[in-house]
Amino acid sequence: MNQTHRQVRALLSLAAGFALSLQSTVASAAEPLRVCAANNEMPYSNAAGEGFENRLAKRVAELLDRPIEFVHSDRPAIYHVHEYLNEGRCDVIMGLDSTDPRVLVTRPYYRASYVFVVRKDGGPDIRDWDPAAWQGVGKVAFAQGSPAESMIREVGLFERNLSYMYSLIGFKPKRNQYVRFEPSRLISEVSSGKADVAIVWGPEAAPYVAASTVPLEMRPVPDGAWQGTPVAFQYDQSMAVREGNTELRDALDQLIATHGPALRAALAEQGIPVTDPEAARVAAQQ
Amino acid sequence: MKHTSGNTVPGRKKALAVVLASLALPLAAHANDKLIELSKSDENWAKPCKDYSCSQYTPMKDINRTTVKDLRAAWSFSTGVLNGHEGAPLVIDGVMYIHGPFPNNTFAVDLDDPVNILWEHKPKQDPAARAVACCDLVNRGLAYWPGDNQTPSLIIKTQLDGHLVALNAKTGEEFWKLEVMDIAVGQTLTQAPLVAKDIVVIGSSGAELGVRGVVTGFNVRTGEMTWRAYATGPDEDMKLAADFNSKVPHYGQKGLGLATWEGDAWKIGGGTNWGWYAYDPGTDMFYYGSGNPAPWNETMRPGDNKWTMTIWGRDIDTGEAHFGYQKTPHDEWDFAGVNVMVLSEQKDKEGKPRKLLTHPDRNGIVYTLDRETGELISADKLDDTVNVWRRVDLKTGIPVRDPEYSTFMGHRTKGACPSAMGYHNQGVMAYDPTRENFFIGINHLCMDWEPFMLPYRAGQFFVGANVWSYPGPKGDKEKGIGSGQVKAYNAITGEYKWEKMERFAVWGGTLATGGDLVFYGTLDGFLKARDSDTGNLLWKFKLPSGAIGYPMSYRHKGIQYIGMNYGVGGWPAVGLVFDLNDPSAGLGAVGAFKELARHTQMGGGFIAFSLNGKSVYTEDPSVGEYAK
Repeated sequence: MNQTHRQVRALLSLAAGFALSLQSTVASAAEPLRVCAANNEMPYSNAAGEGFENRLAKRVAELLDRPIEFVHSDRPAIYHVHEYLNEGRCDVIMGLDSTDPRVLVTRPYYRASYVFVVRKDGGPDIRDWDPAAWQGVGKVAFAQGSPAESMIREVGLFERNLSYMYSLIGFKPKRNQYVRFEPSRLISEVSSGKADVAIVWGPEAAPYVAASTVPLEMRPVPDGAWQGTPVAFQYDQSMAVREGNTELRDALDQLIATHGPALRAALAEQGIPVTDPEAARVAAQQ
Repeated sequence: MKHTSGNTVPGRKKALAVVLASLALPLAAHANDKLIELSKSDENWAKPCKDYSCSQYTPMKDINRTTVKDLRAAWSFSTGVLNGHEGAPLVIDGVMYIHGPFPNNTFAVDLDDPVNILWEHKPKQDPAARAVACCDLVNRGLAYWPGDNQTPSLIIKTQLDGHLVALNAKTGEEFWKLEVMDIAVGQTLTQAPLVAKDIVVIGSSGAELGVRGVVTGFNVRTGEMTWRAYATGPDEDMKLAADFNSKVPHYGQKGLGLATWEGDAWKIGGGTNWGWYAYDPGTDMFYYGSGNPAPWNETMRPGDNKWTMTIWGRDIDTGEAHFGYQKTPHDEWDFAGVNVMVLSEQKDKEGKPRKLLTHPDRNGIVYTLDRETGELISADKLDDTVNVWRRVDLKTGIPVRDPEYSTFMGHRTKGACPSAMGYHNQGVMAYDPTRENFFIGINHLCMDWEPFMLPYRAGQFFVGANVWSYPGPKGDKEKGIGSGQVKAYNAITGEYKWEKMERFAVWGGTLATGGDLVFYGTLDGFLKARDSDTGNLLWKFKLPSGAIGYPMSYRHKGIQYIGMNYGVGGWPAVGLVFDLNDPSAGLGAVGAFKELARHTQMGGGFIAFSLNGKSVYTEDPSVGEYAK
């Protein structure tokens, strides 16, 4: 090629490089993506990076062409918005409700549902919130403070299940300490036969259901109502950044727009049952 | 020495019970009188807090204001266990019965020669009980039943793993054993049983876990349940007598165990009753307080939550309630209402003799009621720093809240006094009839309380609270000391005659004596004697470890002894006992008592004190010698 052509190509590649580096100085290519990562929040995250959100974060950083830095914390994930994100100790939380008012959320990148978990052999035929079907059910394993609690109250099982519910957190008081209803425990209560049903957020349940040597079945939980107030069991999940950090949010939004299906496929590969939030929105409008 | 640990509830005892049931009434009266007679003697300390009135008063005056400077240690006994030593031993007919925290070993010691352990009972317990115990592994003491023609004298004890056990007092063998609390639902047993007539009265624990409070009467000879009454729910469940609150209708009468709750919340409403019980053979009623409602988060249980936080007067034979006065309607601060009940006879302001019940509550108010009718006579602040209440309206019985110290979701209430640990907790309270004064040990602790709702994912919320406890305004919040007081109080005039500050909360309670002295143990490890009239400190002794029990007194072979359990622990010392450093642990107790470890470590045992340390050994050291 002649010199002019070479010069144009050089200029073009310079321009491209300049554009790339422009993009990078806004969120510098050298600057790591700092991801809040709890040390003890399986199946989402742990200190060894084995949680599905740890893996997803690596993928996201690759797509952004940024190195990843996990900001590990012994503090439970529930404190990350207040103590880590808003304090500038990390820049992105991988999964929060798309309606979370405390943060700047991306567009939703997956949607999931709570599931009823029962033993395949001999488990009760529970598929919805018909109170009659629930009267014959023994112990129910669920997290206090989740939508399941509202519906368990509605079908009249809360009082007689209370002591069992507290036993799932070792009767630990919830003052001055955070207590999590471990999804692994909720699922193992069903496989061991101590509980007839567990009601768990699907992405939390799936890895333990898959690993259970006792065959278990997951059924989607339909929405309900408690004392007339609607109780939802499907939620859109987004990534989240600090209020005001529109640059990173926009970059992530763009990533989700382009690679959303790939991200969801990556989750599905790990056995996490998710759907396309866009599809749900479209369906809802029809 | 005999050693027992077995499970013996022989079938033949049931047949015996049938025969005994028909003879119940006269035998019961006999046993009752015998316990009262035993209690009258200075040589005995036949029940916790001395007598059915829980007076914590001995008329003995050998040890008095003048002689107390010569008070010295006389003999001692280590239980072999660390963890907190609440309560005090019993003394009956020359034998001392010593109890302890988990594993709840019991020893019978020969007072003629205390080197001899006559028998021991070392129960094998489910170790899971330790994990569900909230506040160390304490036990508040034993009860004694004198026996009759058919049934031997018994020592009745509670075990952390939820068992109520009757031991043959002479041999230590298990006579019967019952499971009363269920550790599988997070309940334990720590209380000293009340034994009155032929009934053993036991309360319940686990309010925080939504366990519905229940008080049960068991037949002392067999352990069979005689009656049972709940703190919430339908009137029949609560065993309200037909005349319930008939003399005080403004406190509320029928249907309120349901109506003051939303929906089925009463079923998990709490109101447990693991504290102190008093008994009046005259009214034939026993008296106790029901504890906090559940859950602790008050937004989840609108309503007055009756009849939690209530002073109850129930018939000993039937369990039926003749009155109930609710001290803290719709609790917001965890002021469990189970503290000591002390009975006295005094003239009221109009000069009329009344039968009284006085009760220093966690909520910072000391209540005095007419124990025949349930009528409120006085309700005074335990200290003028109490701020959650402005006052108690004596006409209606309703406490007037100060909204600044109420609790609100998402709001940090600062400087609320008392803290959730209460200005008074599990300790006892002496009544001196010659002065008509109560001597009250106080926990001068205040708190910040911040309930919150944190969103998690997928519509989940965590509802929690941050609680910080620290010394109140009369102490030193920064240094973490000055969290205790001891006072002399008149329930009729409402006056405090004197008030003294202590380094730490005066957790265990007081003993008053005819020698014009008030004794009590301190968390940092002293047994102290103060002048009953002035509060001046006249004597103290440095125990091997801090005290959460209370002093008792008995005479043996002519010598008056003051006896004291030592062994720091309980709720204030969870940081020390379990090596916790997070100030928020133990519901803030670790922070509130962070300085405690600079003054004491764990221990466990009993020490007897006498003038010049006189004992069975001082006149003749060869007493009990192997080779004379």
